[in-house]
Amino acid sequence: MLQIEHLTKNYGEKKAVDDLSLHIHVGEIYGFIGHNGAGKTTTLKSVVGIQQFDEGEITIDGHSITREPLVCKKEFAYIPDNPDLYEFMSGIKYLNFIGDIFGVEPNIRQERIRKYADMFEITKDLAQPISAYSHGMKQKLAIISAWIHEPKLIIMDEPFVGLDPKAAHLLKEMMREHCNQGGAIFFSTHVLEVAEKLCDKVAIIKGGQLIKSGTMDEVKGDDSLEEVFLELEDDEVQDVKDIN
Amino acid sequence: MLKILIKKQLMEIFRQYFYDAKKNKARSKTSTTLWFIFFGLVMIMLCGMFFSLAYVFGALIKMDLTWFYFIIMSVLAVLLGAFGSVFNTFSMLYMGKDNDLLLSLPIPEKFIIVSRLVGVYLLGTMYSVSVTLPTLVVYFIDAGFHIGALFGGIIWMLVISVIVLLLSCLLGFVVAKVSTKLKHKNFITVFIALVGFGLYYFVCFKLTTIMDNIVTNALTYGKNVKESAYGLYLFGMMPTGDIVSILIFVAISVVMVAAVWFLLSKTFISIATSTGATVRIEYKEKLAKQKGVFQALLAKEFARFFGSATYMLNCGLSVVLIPIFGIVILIKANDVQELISEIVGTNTDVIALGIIISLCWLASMNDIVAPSVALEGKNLWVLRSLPVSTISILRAKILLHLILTVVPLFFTSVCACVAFHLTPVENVFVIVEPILIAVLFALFGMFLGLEKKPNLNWTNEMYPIKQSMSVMLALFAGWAYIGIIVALYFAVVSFGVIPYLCIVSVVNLFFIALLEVWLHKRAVILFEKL
Repeated sequence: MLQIEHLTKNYGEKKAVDDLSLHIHVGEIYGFIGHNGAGKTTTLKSVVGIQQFDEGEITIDGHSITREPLVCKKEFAYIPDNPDLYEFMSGIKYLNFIGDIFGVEPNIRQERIRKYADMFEITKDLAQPISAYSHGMKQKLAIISAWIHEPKLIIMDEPFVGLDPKAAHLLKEMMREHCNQGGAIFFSTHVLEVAEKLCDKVAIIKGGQLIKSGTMDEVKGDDSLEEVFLELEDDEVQDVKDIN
Repeated sequence: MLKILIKKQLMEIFRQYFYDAKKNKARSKTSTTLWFIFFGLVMIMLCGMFFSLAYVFGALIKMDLTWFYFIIMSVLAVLLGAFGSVFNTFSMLYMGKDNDLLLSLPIPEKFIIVSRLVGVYLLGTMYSVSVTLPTLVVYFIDAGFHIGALFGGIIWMLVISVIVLLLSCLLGFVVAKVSTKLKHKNFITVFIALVGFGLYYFVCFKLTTIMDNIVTNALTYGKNVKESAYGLYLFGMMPTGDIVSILIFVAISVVMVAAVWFLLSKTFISIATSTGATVRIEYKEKLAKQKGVFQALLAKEFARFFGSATYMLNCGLSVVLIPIFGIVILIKANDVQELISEIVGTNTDVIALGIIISLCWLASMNDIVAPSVALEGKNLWVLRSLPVSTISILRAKILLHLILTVVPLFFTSVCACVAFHLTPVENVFVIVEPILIAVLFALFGMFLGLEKKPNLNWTNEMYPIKQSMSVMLALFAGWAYIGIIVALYFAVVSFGVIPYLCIVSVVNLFFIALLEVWLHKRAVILFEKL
């Protein structure tokens, strides 16, 4: 579904992402973890084509994001870490805007909006301007807008931030259901417990480099994901001390 | 603590002098100095303007109506000070982004109010001093300098600044109260602003008549005011050093300050922490009408434009002005023809040129495209992650401008064709030429908006709309282009208007074609690099 091959992105002299390769297959929930500034958001932005990269290739269903961006963008939905949505629109207008862009039939659109808005308990607020929404409500609206056109691949940057426990639980169920129906999910998170319970595969990135990836069992073995993550961090600190 | 808060407030007011929002970094000392020099020059120009006005009214001093002279100038100072800063007062007093932070800290509420009031006071005083200072200078020139008048004058300036502060606070309070209740805030703001502009231009148009009238009938007016409003007479006596007036108005000012302080301290928290979402719109499910991709993008652009009073007022004023001009043409065809004849001559073809130039000038006042890319701001990710081509995004922005400019232009051109008896060929040019200009300026707006790297990191939409170089350049370049067209005709051209308009059309079409090529080749790349 999603293939990232030797992705490299530089900000000036700093390598934000360094030769990163990942493959995400149909039916997989793929977690992407790493400390702040590790290169997660840069990778996700490169995947969805809103950031140009220096080297490598990204393909979605065999189509290159650089050469066939529109074909790729029809296949996925993206939710950024901060849901900055059009504040001059109401919630329903934003959802209809996304529905129009993806050509979702009005009947189907209405059914899905009703389903997801009811689930997230924001139906009553759909006529309100987005400027009046809380962070959590904006996040819920961004999630609904991603699911409304049933993309094959959903890419999310820290999707659980700002969600209440019930909404977070619902999102986890939706993610699993999406993958069971033949979709795939690639998301970044700092919540290691969630990643451990939810993900089929996980990749750990540090300083722009992939330091470990694979199925959850391959990555963590008998330890917890948190222990593995912290251990990898410590190794890196130790390496730095050794060099010094 | 109060000192720190006031310092923070001052830093906020003069933030743009120290910080470059576009580059997201602090300005160099040279840049800050240049900004302050620029500020000083603007203030000197403003003072100069009111010095000329005070000089005209200075005739009253010689007529022994000094108090009346000061009353007239006081009214001007108060109007400029209070109304010039009313919307700033509202945002400065109540809409501070750091309200929640400051209120959560162990800071006495009164300190927060005082620090905000200092900001409001400085802003209002800046405006009022530009009137009161030249007024005093003219008084000293005409009546001669003496210490008593200097003392009275300084007290008068202070009292005026206090009145401005009080009026600003009261108006800010009313705006705050009203804005939490209004449903269609944007349209009402635009409507009020348009009425304000209308009044402003009416007063400007009639200013000479009003001034002549006042000076001619000064004795009668002065007598009437003194007899029916003795308080005003006393107020006008204050700057002459009249000690009774000074004592009375200082006492009144103290009482007024206490009253407003009481009002503000009682209501500050409730207004400052109000969410404003008092009108709840109930969602009623209904089947959406399916739109195509481009239609959806265009609808989004319309929603942004009509969702922002700032955008409408600063970049789309001609949407209203052009049809008003059309109606005026229909109703007052003879007067308009006379006016145009006075400026450009009496030949019908030159009148056609006059109409075309007027329409082009009005069209140039719409600068909707120039800030449209910058206005995407932090929302840019939405468009960039959706399956829409970059050229469609840019075209939607351009089409918004064209619809809002060309439709009113067409209406007014048809009005002109009906009102003036022009030849068929002249009629064609009256319709086509302004449309060509509108297309050219829309494309040029996009050119400026993208080539002058847009600031996407703004925190308030006023930055890309009011303080953007591309918007300013779009406006002035439009005027310059029209000016060149007119100047070339009168200075160089020896043949008729129609052949000249043919050449102008070809030149316009050439520039349009050039900008179209730029749009397809470079604009797309620039947008995708943002």
